[in-house]
Formats: sequence, structure tokens, C-alpha cells
Amino acid sequence: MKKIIAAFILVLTMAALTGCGEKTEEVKDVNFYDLRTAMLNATTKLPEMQTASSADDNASELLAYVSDIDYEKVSNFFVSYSKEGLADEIVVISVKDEADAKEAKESLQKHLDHRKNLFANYAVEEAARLENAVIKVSGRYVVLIIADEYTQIERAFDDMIKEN
Amino acid sequence: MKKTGIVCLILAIVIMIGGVATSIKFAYSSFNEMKNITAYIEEQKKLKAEEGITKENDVKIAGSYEIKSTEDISDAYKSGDTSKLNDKQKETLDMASDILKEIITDGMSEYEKETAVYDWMCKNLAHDSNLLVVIPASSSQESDNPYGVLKYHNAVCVGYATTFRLFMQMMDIECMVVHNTECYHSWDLINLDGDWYHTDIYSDVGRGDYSHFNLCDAIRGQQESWDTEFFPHANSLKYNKAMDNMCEASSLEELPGLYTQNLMDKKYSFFVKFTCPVDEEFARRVQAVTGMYNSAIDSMYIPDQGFWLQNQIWLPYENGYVFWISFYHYGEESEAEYLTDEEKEQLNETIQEVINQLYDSFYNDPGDDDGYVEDDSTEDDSTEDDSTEDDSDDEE
Repeated sequence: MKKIIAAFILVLTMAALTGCGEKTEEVKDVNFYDLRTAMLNATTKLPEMQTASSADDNASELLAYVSDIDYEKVSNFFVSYSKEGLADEIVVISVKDEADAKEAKESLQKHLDHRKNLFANYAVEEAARLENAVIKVSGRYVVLIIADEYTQIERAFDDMIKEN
Repeated sequence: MKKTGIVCLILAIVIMIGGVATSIKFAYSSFNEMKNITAYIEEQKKLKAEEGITKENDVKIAGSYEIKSTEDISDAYKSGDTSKLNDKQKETLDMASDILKEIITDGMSEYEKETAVYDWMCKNLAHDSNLLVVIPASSSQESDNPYGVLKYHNAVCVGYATTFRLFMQMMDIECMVVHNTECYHSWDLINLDGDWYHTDIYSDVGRGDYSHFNLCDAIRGQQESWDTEFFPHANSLKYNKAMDNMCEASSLEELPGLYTQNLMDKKYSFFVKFTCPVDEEFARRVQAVTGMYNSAIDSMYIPDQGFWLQNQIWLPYENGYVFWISFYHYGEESEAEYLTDEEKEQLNETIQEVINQLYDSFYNDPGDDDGYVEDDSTEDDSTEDDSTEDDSDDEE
């Protein structure tokens, strides 16, 4: 009888451990280099772009230019922006916990408002282009797109996320 | 029984005393808490008030560029004592002194000195393109102070404003750096003969056409808003450069010719004084004519350049009113970089010719002055035969 109970407890422990193991498995992001390439290549109308990303040594400092979210909450990001200071910009941030996506979205909205103010003061002819900016949340991903052909870039983002 | 009664009484007294003591203690601690809360509220109010106080210096513009005092440098220039300056300040002083030696001559008035500095800055400095780049290059931080501006000749608005103020303060001319309400732009206020004027070099760099030179509050107020309670009022027109371009008109019909002549003479900001009576209706009609003129020049084709109306405003002057107008003239780098100069010249002539043809087709067609093609089918119930007839007429 004791042996049966011991075996039963062992089975239960194993099952529990397996269950816990599944729960603690880290969430996996889409490959950010591929995501960035797909989004940048979705249109030919982007100017010369420069990119900063979570792959850079000073990644947390670079992200601070566009988002004030705590870097601890961020899983991956990239920021592609016009080298000449035009309005064009693409930002994707993935957060570790989906619950933080709202905070990331708000931080990008703040960044967009700042850019609108800058362009209204220093490059009025570009300012109108920011009115079509897209900010959206898709699961753990938050995206900001400022570009003429923003729908194509958004579609490329959606496709990549769906594949993942 | 008696003993029990006494015990009960003592117990009741103890409970009463305890209750009263607790109430006093509670009231006392509540009072203390209230005191703490009141002090906290007062402290917060004070902090809030301090946050809202406008300052000239130690203000961040566009979240990145800080307006800092440079009085240590100008004081050292005036006293000749550089012992309190650090190496960077000494270098700034040397660069600024060299420029003043080059452009200021003996006997210049304060207005002439200001003009000389404005001209030098408009000609020799350029906008730091990093201002609008999302993640700017690290060197761009120096473009907001005279050290970086004079060394690299690149500036953001704060750089122009603080460098201009440094020059003025070195020459003992009163000058302040103003920032707009949103903290996204800054420029200067300068005192000449007791009157203050707005000068925004950032907006004139590359052109140097004085369209943002020595403006009064009314004109500046059309472009920006700032704390008018903190910064001094600028109400004089005396040193506005457009005063040199004052012209007279006696009717609305004279205005287009007058505007054209001024643009041809490269006078982009000027005043118009009317010799006829000016009432509210006349003022509105002047603005309407100016708007029409603007539409015409805005759509006009001039290779590599163009004009548009920047500002217009009626201002009190002497015993009546004067009309201030400012055109923006821009010259663009030609996009036709793959063409030779000769080809460009020929093509410009061809383009001008066909644009004129297009212009004539719209304005000289007596039958259709609104530019729209009318849909005959909705005009009346004409028969097919009629329309065929019309077509043949047209062909004839």
C-alpha cells in the first residue's frame, strides 16, 4: 500500500514539475532583425534610415530617446529614423509582460507629441506628415510608424507577427 | 456584595479614565497629523508655484537644449580679468572677441553694432540638422551654447539666442533670451535707447533679410506666445528694419505694383502708410488685396525660388495706422543635379513658356472662368441630336 501511495505522490510531483516548467518557459520574440528588414523594405518611399536597437551596447540609453518605459520591462526594440531629420520613423518595442504594453504605447504617444511640437516649430512643411502616424498594440508588441506608405509597413509588421 | 460593587465602580472609573485619555490622545495625534498635512500642502503649493515661475536661464528647450547664462564670459571681457573662467569659457571669449574685432568699428551706435552681429551670424552660421533627428549625434549638444556655435558654426535656436546675447552683453547692450510658452523655441529681446525689440536670428539664418529683426510684441505675437508678464514689453517700431522700407500708397489699386517693386528691390519686409483715410472696412480690403497678391505669387513659377506672404498686420503709428507686411523669399537648391547649367537654362525657358500657356488658357478663356468642365447631360434635357450638333459646332 505504502509503495502505491509513494508512486502516486511521485507521479503527482512529476506532473506538477512539468506543468511549472511549461509556465516558466520564456516568451519568444519574432526575430527583430528580420522584422525590421521586412518593415523597412515594405516601401521604397523611406529616406535614408538609421537604426538603433536592443542589440546595441548602450541599448537602454538609445531607447530613452523614444520611450521612458523602464528598460527592465523591455524584451526587444528597434528604432529606425531618418538620418536627415525628416519625420519618417519606425519604432517597435516588445515587452516581457503583455500587461506593460499599455505603458509602452503611452510612452510612444508622448514621443509622438514631442515630435509634433518639434516639427510645428522647426519644419512646418513636415509637420502634416506626423498626423498620419500609427501607434498600435499587438499582444506584447507596440509599434509606431511615421511614413507616407504607413499601411504597407503596418501590413509587413502584422504579417511578421502572425507568422510568429 | 459590597466588595463586588466597589470593584465594579473602580472598573467603571478606570474604563472612563482610559476612554477620556484615548480620546485626548486621538485628538492630539489627529491635530499633529493635520499639522503635518497642512505643512505638506503648503510645501506642495510652494513647489508648484516655483515650477510655474518663468526664468530666463536654466530652462530646457525642446526637452534637450538648455539656456545658460554666459555673463561670466561677458563680465571677463569688460573687466579684462579672465582668472575666474575655465578653459572652455576662455576659448569662447577668445572666439567671440575675435569676431567683434572683425565686425565692430569705433563710433558705431548700439543699433549698428546689433546689425553687424546679426549680419555676421546670419551669414556664417547654419542650422544644426541634428535638432530634428530622433537620436542626435553626440556632438550636437554643443550647438546650444556659444562655445559650440562659434567653434563648429552649427546652432539650434538656443545656440543662436545665447550667442547673440553674449555678443550684446560683451558690448554692454541689455539683452535677454526669451522662450515660448511651450518651451520649444527661443530668441532674443534687446534694449535700444530704452525700448525693447524681439530679434530671432534662427528664423533669418541663411537669408539675413531682417524679417525677424527688432520686432514689436504685436508682430512677434502673431508668430509665438511667451510670458509677457515676465519678459519686458516691446512696443516701439523705431529700430524695426522695415521702417527703412516705409512706402506710401493712396489706393488699393497701387498695392500690387508697390509689392512687386519691393520684392524686385529685395525688400521683403516693409511698412505701407496710406495717404487716404483708413477705417476698419478699408483695412479689411487691404488685407484682401494682399491675400490675392499672395495667391498669385505663390503659384508663380520662378526657377529654384519662390515667395509667400509671411505676415501682415495693422499697427498704430503716429496719429493713425500703418500696414506691416513681410514676404518670405526662399531659394532652393536645384533638384536637377543631372543637368548641365546650359541645359537648365534652356529648360527653364521652356518651362516658363508652357506655364504661361497654361496660365493663359485659364485666365483668357471667356467661356469658362472657374476652371471646371461642365457636365452637359445634367444642364438640360437636350436630345442626342442637339449634342451632336454642339460637337460639330465645336469642331468648326
